[in-house]
Amino acid sequence: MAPPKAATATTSRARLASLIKSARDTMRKDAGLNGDLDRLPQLSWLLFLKAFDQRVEKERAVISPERPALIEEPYRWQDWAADQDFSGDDLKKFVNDELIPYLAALKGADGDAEDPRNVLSTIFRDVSNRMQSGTLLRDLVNLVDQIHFDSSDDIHTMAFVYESILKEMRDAAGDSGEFYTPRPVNRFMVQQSFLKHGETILDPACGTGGFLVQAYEELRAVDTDSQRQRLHASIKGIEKKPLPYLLASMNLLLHGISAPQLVRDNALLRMRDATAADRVDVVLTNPPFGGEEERSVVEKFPKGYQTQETSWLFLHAILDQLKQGGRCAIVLPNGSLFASGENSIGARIKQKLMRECNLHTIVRLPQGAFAPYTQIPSNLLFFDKGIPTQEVWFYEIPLPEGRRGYTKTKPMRVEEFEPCVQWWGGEKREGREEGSHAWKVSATDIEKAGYNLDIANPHVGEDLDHRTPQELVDELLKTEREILGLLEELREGLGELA
Amino acid sequence: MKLTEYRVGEIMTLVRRPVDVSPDGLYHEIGIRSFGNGVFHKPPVSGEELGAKRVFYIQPGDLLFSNVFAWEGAVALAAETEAGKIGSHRFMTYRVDTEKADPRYLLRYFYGGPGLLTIREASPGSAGRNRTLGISNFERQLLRLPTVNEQRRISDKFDATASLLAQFKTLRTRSSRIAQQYMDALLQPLDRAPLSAALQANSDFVEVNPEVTYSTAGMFNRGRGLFHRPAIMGRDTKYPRYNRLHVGQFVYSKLFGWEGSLAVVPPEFEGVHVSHEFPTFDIDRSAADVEYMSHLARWTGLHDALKDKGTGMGSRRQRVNVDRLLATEVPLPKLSEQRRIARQLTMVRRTAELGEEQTAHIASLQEALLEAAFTGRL
Repeated sequence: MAPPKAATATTSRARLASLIKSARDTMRKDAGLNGDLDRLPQLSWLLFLKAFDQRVEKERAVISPERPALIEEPYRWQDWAADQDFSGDDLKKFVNDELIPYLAALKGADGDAEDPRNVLSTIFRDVSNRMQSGTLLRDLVNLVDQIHFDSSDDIHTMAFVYESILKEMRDAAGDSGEFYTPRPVNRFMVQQSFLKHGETILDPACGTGGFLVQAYEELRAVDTDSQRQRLHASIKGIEKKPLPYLLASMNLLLHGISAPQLVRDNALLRMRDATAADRVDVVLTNPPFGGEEERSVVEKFPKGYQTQETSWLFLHAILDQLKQGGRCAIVLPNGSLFASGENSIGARIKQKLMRECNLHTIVRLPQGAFAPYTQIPSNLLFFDKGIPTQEVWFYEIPLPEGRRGYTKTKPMRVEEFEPCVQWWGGEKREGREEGSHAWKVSATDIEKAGYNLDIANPHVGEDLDHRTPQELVDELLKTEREILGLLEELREGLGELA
Repeated sequence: MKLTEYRVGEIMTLVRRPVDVSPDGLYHEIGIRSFGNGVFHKPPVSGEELGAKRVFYIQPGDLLFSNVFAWEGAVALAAETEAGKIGSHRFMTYRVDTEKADPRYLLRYFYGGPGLLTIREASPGSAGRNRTLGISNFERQLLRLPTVNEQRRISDKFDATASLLAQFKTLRTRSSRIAQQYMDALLQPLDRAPLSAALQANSDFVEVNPEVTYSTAGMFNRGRGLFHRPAIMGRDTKYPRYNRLHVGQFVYSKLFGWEGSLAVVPPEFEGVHVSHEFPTFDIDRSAADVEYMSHLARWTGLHDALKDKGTGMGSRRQRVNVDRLLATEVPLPKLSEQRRIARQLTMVRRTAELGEEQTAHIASLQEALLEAAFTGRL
């Protein structure tokens, strides 16, 4: 029998899931919404307002009752959303003509970077109510009002549920180049970055805020209010698109950061325009790849490094964005590691990376770690700025025994990183040894190979003689999956038919 | 796509950098492959060996044309690896005006795009060797190019794709190698018996009638099977008789058995004729499975065993005679085991065939990319 605590969590997760299902059914009836791509934003901004009411306003009222509410009457959730009789065209008109414009025009108090109203207005500048029926809108608001964000268990549950909707939306959208980072990968990268209090942490492509939340979780044990404020201020994200921005804000809000340091902007432009004061200690990110950038953005980069490939632009910008001694953990696809063509800009950026930074570790993830979003094989690169690379350690995370890949229902698990964490050798990376999954390559050899970092594990690599038919078929499957991933990457890169 | 018209001479300039050859210096010459397949490096030679040959330095970023083979796409872009290398006067080194054009775009434009026609316009000779690219004629030709930004965008996309395609090829090769090793892993450990345990010589000889048309076949080496030859009139062959093939027979070439010319006759070769130099055998169904035997015919292990079974002198006279073939030991387990292994080998073989289809698709993809690039669809 399951312990009672787990049983409660399951119930509440199931309850939430069923509320959200009802919400989606309600939205399906409305003529103004087409598909999940319309429905999710609608649900998200309502959830956000509810969460904001409970997590920020109510807590604020308890902690400092003398300070006025951030959202004024009659725009508070309790004023309009909790009133069940407020419905139909009146409600629709209020939301469209008053509420959203009011929220979009909010401004934080001067000089108060912590004021959440700035986040609110940034979010609501891009929000519109797409529902045409005020009555259905009322039904939806009622459903959202039943969701509570009181206990931290509920917050986790909510985060879980909304990430799962988000996943579905990604499936529906097939957004090129943007892939939701699985939680175990977030966690592993944060863990192996050995974060410390007082360090500034940036995810320039923060999406829904997975890395930032994980980093916050890692550091959240602080003693005083001022320490907490400093911590909140040190976790920064940039996101270009409105919906992920909203979701990231909500994600951080739900985890207890009332004024998330999130910027909605083109991260590449922002990083290129950054000054020395904007540099950070740690970058944790999974940048979009295969995407294309506008020429004006590309031209912000030095001549020899101009390319449309967003992952290269991100890597280049991050090199500048890090302080001396700063650290970075970044997700890159196999194709980027491989890029070594004679005129390849990728090779040039990798050369710059290895000359300016110590690229100490590359963790090769198993095929399908990002399934079902993509089969493109991915890698985690860890580097420190300031010292040139002497040698690069590679660690290959194998698929769990007997598994042939990951699926939606059987995704990658945190424990699969455990042997790599053991091998890592702590913050100083002490006592690393070569083994069946770990090997090292000197910077000179990498340079000779034209900066091709797609280096296969020599311990399983080419010497396939004397292997059993079973092992060989496994190897064959692995190669074919790699081919499949590669072809998918190729397809991504070609974009839509012109 | 907005296009601007330029003369070739407006977007690139021929820059010659003569090498002052010293007799004891060491020089690395380059060559250019046709069809846009890039630069290759020749083995280094001393200045003395170069003699009076006029040679010029190559610099990274040079757009290179072989004036003899430019008409078939012998165009390349010099990279860092070409720094300090030299080329003969046959290799034209152009510097591109990067305000107007991206050299990477021009490279593809000339070997696989509309530029190939431009080159041919300026290469007037008729016979292959005479179709030399005329410099002044070439530089007068007109080109139509998109903006330099658009050229860069297309080139970036091309580079990214090219890199992925290179990776694809590595993986494809690796996959076929593993498939090959899989075959070894299954066959090597098995008990062996001479081929005579499974094969019985049986030829269906027919007298050649001068008035009759015969469909004939030949055989590839390394177990790659039979192929059809054009039909032939009886009067046009020197053979007095033909051996008629029957489906499910084992056949090999006496002349090239040592190179692995072996096969089991597939249905589409039923009744097709081969010369008497191709002995045929019935497979004893009580001792061997036909499908299994067809895999053995493709197996490098058997080819290796036949390598030194030739008799006679000189590579073309190394006939493997029937007795020697039948005495060759091969893995031959009991029938049920053969069937099991044959099924597995057939499956892996099928994946390898699909892999070959992929390779063919990738080849057409490269064509399609070029086509798309120069019609504004990339």
